Amino acid sequence: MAEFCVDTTVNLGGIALRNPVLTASGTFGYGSEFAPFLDLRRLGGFVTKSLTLQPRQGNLPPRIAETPSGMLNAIGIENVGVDAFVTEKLPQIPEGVPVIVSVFGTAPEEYADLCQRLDGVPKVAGFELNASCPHVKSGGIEFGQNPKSLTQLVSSVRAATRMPVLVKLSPNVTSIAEMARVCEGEGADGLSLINTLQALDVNVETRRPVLRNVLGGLSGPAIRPVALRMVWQAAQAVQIPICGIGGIMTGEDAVKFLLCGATAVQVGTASYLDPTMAAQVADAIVVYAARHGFARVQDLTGALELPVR
Amino acid sequence: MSVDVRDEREIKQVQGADVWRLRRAAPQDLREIAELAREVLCDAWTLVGFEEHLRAARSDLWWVCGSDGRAAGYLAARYLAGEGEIFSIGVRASLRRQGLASRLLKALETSQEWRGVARIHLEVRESNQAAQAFYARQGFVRVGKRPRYYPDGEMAILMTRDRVDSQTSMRDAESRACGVSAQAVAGAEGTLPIRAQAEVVVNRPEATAQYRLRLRVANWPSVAPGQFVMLTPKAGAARACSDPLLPRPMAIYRVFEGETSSEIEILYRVVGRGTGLLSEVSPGDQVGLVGPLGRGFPAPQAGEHSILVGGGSGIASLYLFARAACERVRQEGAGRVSILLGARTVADLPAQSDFADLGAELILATEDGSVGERGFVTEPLRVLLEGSAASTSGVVLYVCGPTPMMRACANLAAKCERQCFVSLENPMACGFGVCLGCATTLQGGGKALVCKDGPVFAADRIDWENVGG
Repeated sequence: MAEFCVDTTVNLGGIALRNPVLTASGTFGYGSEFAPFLDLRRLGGFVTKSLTLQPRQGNLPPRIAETPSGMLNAIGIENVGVDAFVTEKLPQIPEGVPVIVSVFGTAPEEYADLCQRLDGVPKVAGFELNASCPHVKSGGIEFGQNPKSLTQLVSSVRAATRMPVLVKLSPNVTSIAEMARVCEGEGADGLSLINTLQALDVNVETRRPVLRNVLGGLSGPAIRPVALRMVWQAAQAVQIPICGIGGIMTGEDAVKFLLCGATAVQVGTASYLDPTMAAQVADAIVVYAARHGFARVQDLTGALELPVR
Repeated sequence: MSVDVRDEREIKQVQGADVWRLRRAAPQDLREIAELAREVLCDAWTLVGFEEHLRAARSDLWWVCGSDGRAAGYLAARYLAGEGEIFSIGVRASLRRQGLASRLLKALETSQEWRGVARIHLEVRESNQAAQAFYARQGFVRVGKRPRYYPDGEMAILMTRDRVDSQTSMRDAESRACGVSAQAVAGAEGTLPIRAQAEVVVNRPEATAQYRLRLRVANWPSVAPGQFVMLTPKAGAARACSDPLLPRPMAIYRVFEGETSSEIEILYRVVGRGTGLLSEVSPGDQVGLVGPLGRGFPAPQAGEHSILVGGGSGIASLYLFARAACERVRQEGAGRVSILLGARTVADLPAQSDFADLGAELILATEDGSVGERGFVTEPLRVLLEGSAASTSGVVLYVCGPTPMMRACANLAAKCERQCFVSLENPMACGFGVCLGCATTLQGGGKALVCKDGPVFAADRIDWENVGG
């Protein structure tokens, strides 16, 4: 077996990660669900299911449907609520795994309140503001699609916590660069993108939408080229680090995001296929870096070779 | 599970303790072990760290303790899906170079729980030459380095060792064909699922669009009737397939248990692209597998009349339960089992001979009348329930099939005031409680996950208007 000497550490907006591979919010539960399959310490870290101040039941079924190289979902931010997360879920996470808590609310104050409550709680390494969930009645995407709302959201949270804050952006916008600049201007420590693409599919036999919610969010390899484009555009627009998300299934997929300017990546839907997928992606990045003579994974960030104009 | 090391004279003479024992650690031992760890390692776990470790699933902690209660050495490890990881080994300085560490390692590897572990990984500090030399003597090889791995910036050396004895022997397959006993019905759901690459042994068509798939799986845990697996066809090296993307939930039809690996049998019908892809795999191919998953059927009550109703591909969910229920009746000399199977046509009933072999009352119904009664299976069920209306002993329905059929059975059971359990088949992406896609709605408006809280539910808990399947 070949021996590789590659520095895999990265710094994502003040969060020191052992390797650049995290797992995406909503696809990794609260972490403990993966304990039978995976030593969580093999991950750079993980992002929790989005938490709200009060527990939420989520949408009526059917909530998911498979689509070409992807899936639609409209779960509706079902979660146990912040209190149960702290008392029941967090203690099950082993020491040494950075936990990034995804927070969700219908007003900037709710996001700020959540971050304040979780500030300083052991094992919590930082926050990811879900400003982009496309399938709940209020909150989420409203912030991610309107620069003014986004400004308010980020500034409220910035005033509430000094811990690292990432903002998860929606792809359902005209200019991702503008949204990225708003976040940077209000003091966000980093960006996560992209969330799911708003989408629809139809069952022609029943002549009904496949989801009870009608609209859902599209994820999986189908959205990867869109995500790469947006990560690249955002990376051109801001200096803060970017966590790339969208259909990553292999080490090569992850490397593409790094080359386009991402500092780290999140594996999402692929964890459903194989609960160890994120760890496999992390291992494969090392192999790639070694094969191409990169001593540090962080040197891959933005190393895209563009054609000379 | 304790190993006596009294014969180790060298150990006996040191430190005043007259007897040293090698055993698994219990919670009350952790204080002493943490104390030793603090003495011998620069970044040892604290007591809290050891307590968390002992609580974690599939963790393992061995120690050598003296008759005076002092710790001489310890080994903390964990095993997952055929792979093991050593977290930490420590031996008291005055007792080193006497084979204690290798005995700890051997005790771990020869334990029942580790018999299916094919490869062991570990990380060791670059500066810890003694430990690296020890592992090298134990057959571990260096496979990589991780610069700045430890919090203080030191590099980690990665080492692994493959297990040599991974011989598979299928022991007495036929006599243990179903892989469960009556006790297992009582709830093997406590077993943790595994993630594995399963090898296709058989994948053959039995009738039009009906297939029987047999998979060899290493380190397969015990299974409860009604549990399922998630299968990803064309997994492993050949996986370039992202369409169809998601794994497919499949009922575990039968299990043939072996020494280090088991074979699980799946009956499936090609209905879409996922099952179409599954029908293309050949013996020797790898299929990604996660399981066993879910909460299966509850154990039948003593003396009850168990009525099993299967429809179409749902029939596969019932075989292990049918077998266990028949076994229970035989053992207790009381109770009764009736099995009702329905399908569109005789070709959709490939399992009927397996059920017939169980020796229980078997009633078949097909929509085209090609075998058994013509029509839906709910009609003979109605007759059976009305016939047993006067029965004072328990009559319980166990149902799996299309949602309209399960709903009809639930209504019949409610009318006759009989208990009814249904196994739901909602679409799901992960199977282990993460995607939240398989949620079903309960009476009163709450939600439950079919993959984790089910697939088996008491029928009267389900809101059939919003079942989601």
